[in-house]
Amino acid sequence: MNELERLDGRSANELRNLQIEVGVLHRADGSARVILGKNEVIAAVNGPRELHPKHMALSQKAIVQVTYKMLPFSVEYRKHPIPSRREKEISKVLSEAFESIILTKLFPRSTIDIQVQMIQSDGGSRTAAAIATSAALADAGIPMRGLIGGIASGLYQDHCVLDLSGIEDNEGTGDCPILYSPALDEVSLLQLDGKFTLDQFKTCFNMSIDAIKKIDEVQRAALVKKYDVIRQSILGEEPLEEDDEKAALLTVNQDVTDADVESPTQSEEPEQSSEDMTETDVTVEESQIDEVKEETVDIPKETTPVEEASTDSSSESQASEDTVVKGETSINKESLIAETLDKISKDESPKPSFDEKYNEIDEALKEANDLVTKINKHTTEPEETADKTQSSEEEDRDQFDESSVKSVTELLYEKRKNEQVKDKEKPKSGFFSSKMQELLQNNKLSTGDLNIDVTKEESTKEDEKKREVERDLEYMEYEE
Amino acid sequence: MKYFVNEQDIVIPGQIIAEGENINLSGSVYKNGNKAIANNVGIVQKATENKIRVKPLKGKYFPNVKDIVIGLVEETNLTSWKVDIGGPYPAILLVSNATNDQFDPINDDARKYFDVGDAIRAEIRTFDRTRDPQLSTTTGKGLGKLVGGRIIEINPSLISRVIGRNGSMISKIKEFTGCKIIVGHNGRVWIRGENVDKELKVIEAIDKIIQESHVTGLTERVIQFLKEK
Amino acid sequence: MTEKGIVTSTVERNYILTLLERGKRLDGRGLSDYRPIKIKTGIVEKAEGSALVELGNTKVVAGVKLSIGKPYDDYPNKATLIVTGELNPTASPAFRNGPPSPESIELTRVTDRIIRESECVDLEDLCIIEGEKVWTIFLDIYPLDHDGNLFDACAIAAFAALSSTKVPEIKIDEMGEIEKLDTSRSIKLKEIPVSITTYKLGDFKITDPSYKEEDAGDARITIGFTEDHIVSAQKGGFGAFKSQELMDIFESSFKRSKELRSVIKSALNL
Repeated sequence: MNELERLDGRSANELRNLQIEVGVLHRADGSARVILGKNEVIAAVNGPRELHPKHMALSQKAIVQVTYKMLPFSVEYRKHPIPSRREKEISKVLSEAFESIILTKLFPRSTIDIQVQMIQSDGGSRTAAAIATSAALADAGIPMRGLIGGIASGLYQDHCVLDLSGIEDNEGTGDCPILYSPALDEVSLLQLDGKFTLDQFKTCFNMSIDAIKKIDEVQRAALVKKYDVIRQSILGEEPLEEDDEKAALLTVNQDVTDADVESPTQSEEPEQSSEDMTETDVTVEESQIDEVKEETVDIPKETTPVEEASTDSSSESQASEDTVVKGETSINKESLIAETLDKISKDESPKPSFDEKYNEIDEALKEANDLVTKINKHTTEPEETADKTQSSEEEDRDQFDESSVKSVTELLYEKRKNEQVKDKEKPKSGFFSSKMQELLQNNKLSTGDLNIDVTKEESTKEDEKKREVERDLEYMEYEE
Repeated sequence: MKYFVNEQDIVIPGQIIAEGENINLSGSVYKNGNKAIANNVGIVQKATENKIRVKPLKGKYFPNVKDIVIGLVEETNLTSWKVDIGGPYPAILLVSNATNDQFDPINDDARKYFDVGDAIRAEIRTFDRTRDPQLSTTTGKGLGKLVGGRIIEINPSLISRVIGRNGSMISKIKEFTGCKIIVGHNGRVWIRGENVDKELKVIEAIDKIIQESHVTGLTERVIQFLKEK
Repeated sequence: MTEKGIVTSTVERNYILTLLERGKRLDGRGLSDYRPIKIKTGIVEKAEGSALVELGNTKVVAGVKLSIGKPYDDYPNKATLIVTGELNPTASPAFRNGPPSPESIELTRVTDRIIRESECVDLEDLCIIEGEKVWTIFLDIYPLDHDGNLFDACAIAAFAALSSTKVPEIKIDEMGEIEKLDTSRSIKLKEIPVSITTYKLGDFKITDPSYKEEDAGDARITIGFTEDHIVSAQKGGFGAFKSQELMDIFESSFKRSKELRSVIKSALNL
């Protein structure tokens, strides 16, 4: 075997120059630019957002749409702007790869759109695209189980080499791009063409995995670099946990010296005051609605419609406004703000419950016995944490219970919650898994060698039945 | 119970935060076995020994019941409005949740209440992941159309910074500029003052807060800034 | 370029108008101020010419690919120029993938017109064998980030990409076969076209609008200038201009184009 001589003088397992920058675009929710050798790619993430056309939406999870696009001047010969079959295939496999790591269940009925544009392409462009996509998704703040890195390896001059450049790819006899998540130890994409022996494949595979671990570090560094600025801005902020907040609120209340403090009792009786509100609302004449609404608002965010002093009519607006404004710098305001802050933290609270479930599910496959206990644990857990400061919400719930419609909704919700836990969920590997299975059978590899999870088909009959029942219930609800 | 991160660290999706039993999680974290793993770019906050919270640093607004949001009317229909609240889902405001008037869709025009392009402040009444959020403007005072002023958008995870500890920051800004400021849970901030200059001052102050709040003594500097203006 | 599906709030529009009354813009600029322009050429090695243009937050990338083709029958001694472009979701969440939208077709055609009509590139210089072989210039324009004024940004990017184009030297043997050599020469430029877009917002006229201003705007006019001529113009938007307004805009834009040309000139070292 000849000595390996790569065109750019790299050794067999050496990466090309890799640069990652996140947040490069102003309009997109998240973006990243990746340079890998001569590859240059920009990924833009928009979403989760409303899906058009609506019939494509899935009621249980978000869909992930990656559009891989090569600009016409990105390659040697001008590429026609109309998407080629190659571009469409890459878009599809990338979509599937990323769907496996994004927590799509958190955003049912929505879409996460990712546009990947190759500004210049030179071998291994789909893996560069994946690196950019992964960084852009993280930049967009989309919850996912881990980052994905990717690299191609292949055969060049009968050697196993990493990260083939365009020319090496053309002259080489094999190419095998891999997407892999080091944090999860999951392969989310594998394509292969050419002639590999089993040993060669193993060498290439392991080489790629090692390289992706390095790529992962670069990705992290890029993200941390951008977010360190924001981190600094939050650094002084103390974590606001429910208990802390209440305590803080008490001390603040003692400190308040403002003359215009309202009695704290008001905030403790949200129900009463909200009744007052509705009453005053009714008295407001239609013609005045706009004006009244215009002037009332001043508190950043009350969580309960509590203590804005009444602004009854537009004729008194100026006078009443003043009193309103003064009244607002009160204990109640503090409590409201605290509550609001709490809300902010609460806004994350549904997430862990779902995430937990998501992962519980993985585990549950292995440990079916633990399942029941865990379901119980997790359906109750988030509520426990949230409950403390949401006494007002509870009150509202009581109110809702009076109406039959609500109680049905509640039931449904509970039901669905439980079901979602039971609903067995595995990371998707569709295309990949079938190909791998084939490969495994042919080459008599053991799954352990590759760390690949071959997906098991789950029985869905039960689930279907449940869904039917649920649909009926839902229908009834609509009729009501 | 073992921690792999320090407080105030930035974590990246997939990063293991802690391992052990009885980890109390909140924020952008998921559990895998006995490990707590970040699912978003976030900052680690530890309240007590067994309580971890990962505050996400970016991300779209996700609706929650009882949130007060600032929305933009995108569509008017016979008896409802479609409202953009910045999250993944368009919100629906029904006439029955917008007014206590008798509304007859044949004779009355929903546009006399809210029209396309109007900014409204509303409460999220229901939202349960199976259907779009429903808004209400009758369930509290100060809900309804926002007239005048201007709206800026900030990252929803930074609103607590703008409000300040127990509202100290926002009340200082209000005090100095005399502007009315509403911060919506969805990261939109409505500002209306006596004149444009005062509103601009508020916007500059908010920019300042977001950009340089890592240096201690922020409140003092913002006050100083407001005084100078 | 208004973005379909994005509703401008009346609050926003009114606010922009109030600011304009005081001679201010959302980002603190004056009414006719341009945002800073950054031009980088030669960013794509595989393209014969390329440029990345930043106009404030607006980013546009343009690339030139050359191939040998047949001339048009009516211009046997001129190279052919094909300008295409796309508005896709990289640039704005409101843009969709799929067949070109009317907006993207308009944008590309307006850019095409200013490049073509200004005769900024010496097309006759790119003729290889008269009537048989000429260079075909593919000019592809891709906005990456849309913060308004894509028309002007695309025109700058298109020209910058053209100006950086390296034409391979060729050798024609006795058999009439054309062989590309490794050496290349610069493209010959005759003019520097400049596009000036003015938006009408209420009674105010603003140049170089941001996307918020565009969405709030009533009418738009894009005018292409060479050193001494008007070479293209396109009115857009749902509003209309008064005839006197239009005259004023043409006059002021012409003056403005000279300033912008000198900026482009110095950025490109021409």
